[in-house]
Amino acid sequence: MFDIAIKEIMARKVRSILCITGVMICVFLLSTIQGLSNRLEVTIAGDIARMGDTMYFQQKGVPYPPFGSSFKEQAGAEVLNADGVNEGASTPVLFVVIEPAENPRDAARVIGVGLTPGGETAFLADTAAVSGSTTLEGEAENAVILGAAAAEFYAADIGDSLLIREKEFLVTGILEQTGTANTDNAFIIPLDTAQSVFGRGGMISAVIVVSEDGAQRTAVEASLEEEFANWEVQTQTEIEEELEAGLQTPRSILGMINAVVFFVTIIIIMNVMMMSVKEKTREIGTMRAIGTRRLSVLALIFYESLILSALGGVLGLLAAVPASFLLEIPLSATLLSPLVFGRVLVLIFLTGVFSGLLPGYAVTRISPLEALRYE
Amino acid sequence: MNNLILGSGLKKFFPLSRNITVPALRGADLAIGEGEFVSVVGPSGCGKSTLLNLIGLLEPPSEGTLLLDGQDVSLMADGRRTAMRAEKIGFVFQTFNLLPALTALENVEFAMRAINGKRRMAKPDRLDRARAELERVGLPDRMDHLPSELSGGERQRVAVARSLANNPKLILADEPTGNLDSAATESIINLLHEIHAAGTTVVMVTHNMDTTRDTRILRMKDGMIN
Repeated sequence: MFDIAIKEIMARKVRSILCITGVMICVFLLSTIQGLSNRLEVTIAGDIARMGDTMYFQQKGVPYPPFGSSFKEQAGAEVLNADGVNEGASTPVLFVVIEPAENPRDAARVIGVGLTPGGETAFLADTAAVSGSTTLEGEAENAVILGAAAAEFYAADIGDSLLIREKEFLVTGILEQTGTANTDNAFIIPLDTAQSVFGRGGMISAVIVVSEDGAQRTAVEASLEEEFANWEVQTQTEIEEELEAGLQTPRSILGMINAVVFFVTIIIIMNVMMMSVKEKTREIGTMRAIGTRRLSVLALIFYESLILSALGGVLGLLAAVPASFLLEIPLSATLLSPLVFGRVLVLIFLTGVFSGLLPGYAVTRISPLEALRYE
Repeated sequence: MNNLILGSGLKKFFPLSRNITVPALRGADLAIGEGEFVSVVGPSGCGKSTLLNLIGLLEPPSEGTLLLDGQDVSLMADGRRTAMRAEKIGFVFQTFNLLPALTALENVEFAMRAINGKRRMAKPDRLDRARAELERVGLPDRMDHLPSELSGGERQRVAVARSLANNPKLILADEPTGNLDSAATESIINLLHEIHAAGTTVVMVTHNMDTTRDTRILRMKDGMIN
């Protein structure tokens, strides 16, 4: 009956194309939305992974990244001198927004990161440079290391000069793309320069703390929290929990959108199949009259709905590819993501099955004689 | 001669509303032997098509007994009736009733898909047999045409070929020439006689007495066989 289903689809081209287009749009929406969500989660996971064994010493109650945290550098110096803290590897850091995001919910397009030259690893972890250096140590006070997205934003290359807040900066390093906004959008400059250019003299946002021995991180965290009771020490796990909590709402919304898309797809195919059964009542009557079993006619309906949903699904996934480029979602987050691919496959299969149920039931109710008389 | 069809006291009522039924057959008795060509004639509404539908197992009688090829089909379950329709009966309808998405060849082959069990043929064999049946009805050059690309007479020939697809014992033709011109009518009647001559029992419902030559005529009136 599979071959007959294909012929039936081919025989009703306009209706089939409209149905496939409807499914295609639904699958396209599903995979693109899922891709956006994946990108968000990958970015956040990258941010968290990048923190490694570091801790952020900052004001209480400020979410990660601590752009909103601001306190005197002197307090940071006390932290750096605390027991168990690797002073050389740790660094005070000042975050400032240089180029705000177009959408307030997104990360700033360029984030100023002032830190102690030589302490970049605490912030960058193992991020490599595509050109130039990853450290400001030994460079002039106007040296800047740009994240990949920041370099693209300014169309800057190594050795270029950038005028920011009437200060001329010299690009000495451009970082590889990491997929995380904190690094990719970074404009890394010496802490003193940042404080001076952005009018935040003597102030910092946080201290990125590296323990002398990674294994003692928990002990260092406990000691810092005891010593500096009015401050907060955020570790990778805590930030992960915080971000995870923040992701619950977007995930719920995404789940609802997925459910709506799923049902819309089912309704589209079911509608088409109901019309098809209605249109073909006489044909179904003929099939039944010449001895075709109910099960075979049912199979015909299911095959048709499965083929329509499968074609729409494949085209929808392919249509998501240019959209991925347009929205800067890596293909690994859409078409090549097992999660997205798996969900779309499940959607296609379930829509095919569910949308065939009602028309299939209608078919089994048709008496051959009534169907033959149907006008 | 063995009786292929034996009916006694056949009645059929159709519900008009919840409490009112209309009788279409009022107690028909009939016996049709194997290898006969029977024409059922009578005025409109006399129950000809209803009788044909009972014989064709498209619906059960309300009352009475009907034996087909020695089996009591009066109370037979739907699945068995469907299988019997596929194996033993070929239908030719007034309006041809070909599947519009399939070519002439595929329409004939489709009927063979209804056969299950040992008699079921593989697709290449089904297609070979479908070609042979279409050649038999004189359509060797129209096999790959869709029904919409065929004339009325050609469509009915395809329908006849389809009815022969499973080598049935019985061909039921309901006004097979009702939508055809005189030339096509003559050709279809000749074809039915050829099929009959080859040993197949044919029961035809018709309004046109010209098509009943060389057949046994069953006259019906008011739901009864005279």
